[in-house]
Amino acid sequence: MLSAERLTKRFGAVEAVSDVTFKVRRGAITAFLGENGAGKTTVLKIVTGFLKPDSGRFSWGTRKIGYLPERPAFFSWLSGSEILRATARSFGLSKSEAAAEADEFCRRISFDPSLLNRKVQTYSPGNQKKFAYLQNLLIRPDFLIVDEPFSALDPIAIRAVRDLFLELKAGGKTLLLSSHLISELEKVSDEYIIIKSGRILAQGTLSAHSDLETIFFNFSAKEPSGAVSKPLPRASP
Amino acid sequence: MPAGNRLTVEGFIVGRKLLASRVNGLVLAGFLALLGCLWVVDSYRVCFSAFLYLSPFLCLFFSQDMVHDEVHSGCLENVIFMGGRFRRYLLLKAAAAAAAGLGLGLVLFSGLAVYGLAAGRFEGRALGQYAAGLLVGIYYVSAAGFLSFFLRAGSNVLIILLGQVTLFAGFLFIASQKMGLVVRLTDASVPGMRAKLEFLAVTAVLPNIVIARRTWLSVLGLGTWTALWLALLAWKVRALELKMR
Repeated sequence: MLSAERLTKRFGAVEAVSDVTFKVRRGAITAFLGENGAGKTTVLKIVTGFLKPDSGRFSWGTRKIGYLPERPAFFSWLSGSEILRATARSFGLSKSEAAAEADEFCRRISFDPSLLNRKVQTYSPGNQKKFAYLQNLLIRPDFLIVDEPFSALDPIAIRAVRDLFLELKAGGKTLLLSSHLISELEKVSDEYIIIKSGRILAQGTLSAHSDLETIFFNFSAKEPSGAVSKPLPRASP
Repeated sequence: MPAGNRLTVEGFIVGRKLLASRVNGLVLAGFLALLGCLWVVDSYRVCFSAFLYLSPFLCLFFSQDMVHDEVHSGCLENVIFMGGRFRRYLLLKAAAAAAAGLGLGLVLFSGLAVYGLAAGRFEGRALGQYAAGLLVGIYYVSAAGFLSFFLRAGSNVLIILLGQVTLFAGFLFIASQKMGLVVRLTDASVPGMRAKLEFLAVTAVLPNIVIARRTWLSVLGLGTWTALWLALLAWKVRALELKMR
């Protein structure tokens, strides 16, 4: 579904990601884990086209891709309904289709629809995050990438979002979730990718008995291999 | 990737921004008030002349806050702009600022020209001046657009206006000293390489001078400046990445 090969990105003298190679399996929820500054967001920004890799390549197996950044921001002069209208139009949805979908998704992520008439910039951070989910759900993505999916959300919304991820997976969608909240990711993830100091440390599949937190800490204690990383074997949980 | 009509979407976002800007509204209202005052207090001829010289400033004001604040606020890091589409949006934004300024100018020009033709007071040279004004408007958008990569909010417009005020102050000083630059700039011809280069340098800061002096040198010079700014703008947009906030 998403295949990245030897991605490298430098910011001046700093090598943010180096030789990053991974695959995200279709129909699975993949947890993308790493410490602060490990390079998770850089990788996500490369595959979504907001950053250009210095080298390496990636390919998508679908054209309908959703993306939620860690801290969503919106045009200060547009209201929620205007942004949804623009999103729907850019993804080829009709106005009525979009309105019906928006109502349904508002309910599912416990977002107050009356907020849609206000400028999104005036929303609380939590509501901005919910609105970003709403915007992405509207396009019905085959592949959804979420950077810090639970940040700024209250416990009720976290549960709603978690349920939503499982619903999307049940509908055959693919998700790539990058987060520090391992315990929340563990509840929904099928696979994991661990990154440290800009290099992929491990990629594997979770079984019913896997403990993602233990896996993460075990791998995080290791130092990444040399400058040119080899394809990593599937780690057994 | 999305199959919808992206041009409509980007046009909608830019259009709403232009309409939402209070500065744009004030500039337009002030411009119309000025033209009205000149017509009432003086004459149609002075009003039309002021329109021809000042209308490119509409493009300049519509070009405020083109890039910097949107890039740094993070609002371009949105699902609508995935796959590098934020770059096309920024280029379209520059085109929309030019289209809005020139479109409004065309409406006003049409109105004034129709009245002038009906009253028998329309002068043919106004067409040439209007055409030169179009070039000046595009020049302003390209220069302000490029400067907007480095300057916040409306500072890109402010710095151009400050440059023009400084140049005017310099002109006044030179004129009071009865020195040659102002004379050379306002002469019918620009003899010698030095005078030509001086003229081109002044054109970069005060492009409206081309509306008064529509020689091959001035038009070609301003055209070259415009092409240069446009090339710089396109290069910056193509290289743009949305780094960490």
